[in-house]
Amino acid sequence: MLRFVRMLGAAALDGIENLGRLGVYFWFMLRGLIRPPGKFWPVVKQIEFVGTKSFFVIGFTAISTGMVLGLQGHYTLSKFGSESVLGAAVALSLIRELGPVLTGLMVTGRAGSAMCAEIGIMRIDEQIDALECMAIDPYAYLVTPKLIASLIAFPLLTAYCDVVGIFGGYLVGVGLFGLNPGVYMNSVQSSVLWEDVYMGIVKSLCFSVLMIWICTYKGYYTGLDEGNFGPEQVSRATTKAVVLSSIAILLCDYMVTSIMT
Amino acid sequence: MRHSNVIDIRGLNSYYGNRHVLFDIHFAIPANRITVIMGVSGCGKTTLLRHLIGLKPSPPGRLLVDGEDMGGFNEARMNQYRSRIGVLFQSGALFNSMSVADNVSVPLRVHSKLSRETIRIIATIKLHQVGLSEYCDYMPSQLSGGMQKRAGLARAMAMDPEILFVDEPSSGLDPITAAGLDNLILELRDTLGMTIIVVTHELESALHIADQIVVLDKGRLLAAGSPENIQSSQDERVVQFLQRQADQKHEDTEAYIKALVGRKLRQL
Amino acid sequence: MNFTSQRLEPNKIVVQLEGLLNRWSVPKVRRGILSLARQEQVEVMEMDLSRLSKLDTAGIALMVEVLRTLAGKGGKLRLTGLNENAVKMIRLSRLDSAFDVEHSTSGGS
Repeated sequence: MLRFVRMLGAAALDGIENLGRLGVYFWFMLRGLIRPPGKFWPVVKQIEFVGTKSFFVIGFTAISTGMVLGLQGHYTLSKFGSESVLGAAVALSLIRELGPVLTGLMVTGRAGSAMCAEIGIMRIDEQIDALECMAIDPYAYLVTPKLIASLIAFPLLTAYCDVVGIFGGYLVGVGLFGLNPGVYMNSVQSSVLWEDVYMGIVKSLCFSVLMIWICTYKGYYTGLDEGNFGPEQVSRATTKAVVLSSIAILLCDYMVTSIMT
Repeated sequence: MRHSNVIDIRGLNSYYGNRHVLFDIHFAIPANRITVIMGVSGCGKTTLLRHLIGLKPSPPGRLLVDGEDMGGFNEARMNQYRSRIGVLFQSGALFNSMSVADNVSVPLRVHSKLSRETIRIIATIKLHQVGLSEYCDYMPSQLSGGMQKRAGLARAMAMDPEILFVDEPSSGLDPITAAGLDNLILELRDTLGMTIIVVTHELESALHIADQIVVLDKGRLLAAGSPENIQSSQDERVVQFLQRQADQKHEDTEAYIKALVGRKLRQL
Repeated sequence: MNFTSQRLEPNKIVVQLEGLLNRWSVPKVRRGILSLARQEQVEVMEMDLSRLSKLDTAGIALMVEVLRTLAGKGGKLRLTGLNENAVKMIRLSRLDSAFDVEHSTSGGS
């Protein structure tokens, strides 16, 4: 019994310590903005990594999701005889909700895991120590460029996801169910307001910060708690990073939605 | 003579969590000399090195750099200290996303306003000193372990540091390359007056290059002195270490049996 | 770090370097010295290092660049007045055979 209580206490203390460290990490990541080295080229490189290379995956996810939305939406709406607003249903669910979330999850899986592994390998191979010994701020050198890059790339990817998804709904609605193309596009145009787009942008920005924060944090602290710098720690950290940041994205999604509506 | 000590270690204790790894270490590192830290694996050599390069925080008053307390360094002061040092890590610690020459260029690119061409030339010069100038454009993964380590040494030398820390320079190297590295280390001391701290367990190389040898054993300082002093030492453990005798004392027999048989049996 | 130049013959230029030639000062003088070497007709540059107090690898790298520029048009770089530090640095960089070094001064070669 005593042992159980002790374990509970240790776990709680660990949790609090981790939270504190996460907060300090966030501060160091921001502080990297005003510290050398120069960030232009690293940021360009990271945008290519986060953005360009996620293009295909996100396009594929978006078009299939759009088509499914078209099918399901048509089924539901036809019960009320209001197939004409299919465009609005597809566009609103994508722009307000699915676009940012899908983009966030896909980029986490593709780029977040890779970032975590990259930084984790640098940790176990003493490369981060080497940076510190060269008086180079590892946060400014490794983490901040990734943050800037994903702040730029996420909203763009989300917009791309929305457009491709709406086109997917169009394919199903117009191509399969023979809706009038004009009706579909018109309902998109008349139903989507600036607030909806704005919410999508806010979400994508939040998700990008969350993803970078959690994934690079997990990589940075690879093996440090265990005192063990074996390669298996990298895979463990990567798994945790993806799971945690996906959960964080979904929670954050709910919070932003509830605040902004 | 006191002022010629770059680093003074005064009763340093070190812990990993609850594990006590260094016990009251006490010695000085003289300027423009080669100090070799020796000991069997797991004796705390690398931990001591991590204290010296500021990767593991030192308690106040225990580690002095030029008479100044390293335990009290703030970040700016620590960076100033680090701009004077070069470190070769055990693994070489090359950044695997960039070529060997770019690796050597990193500190110069970040800390100086030198042009790209000048930096490239410096990187080539440094790589040539370690015998790797033909491998400038290779990626670290294309090099053997020994070559990676030499490239790491080139990077440690990129900023012409005053103090060079080298962790296990010759482990994993063939004898000829290892001897070449030893000579380079001697040359750096003689031509540039560098203060060099080498962590190794290779006795032969230590006796060849050292001005001062520090022997650690199980986290304690066993002996410190010139190679001649160490060689003529009467201390049992030092003699054992020098003569490469296997550990025959079986000090841990009890713990070993305990681990095998289990605690419950002992209590019966 | 300062340098002064003097054109002795149409094809020969003498550069006198003074003070510290290290990674902080090289970026400031590099352009000036290279443009001297790039001048038409200049084939031989003589660098007088006798008033140089310190030389590091960045300084050596600058000399290599000058040498490269001159070698491109068949010229050469001559170093004079080397102090001990300069001789050692050049030898450590394994470049003693690349430069035309005048060995008359002290420092022992």
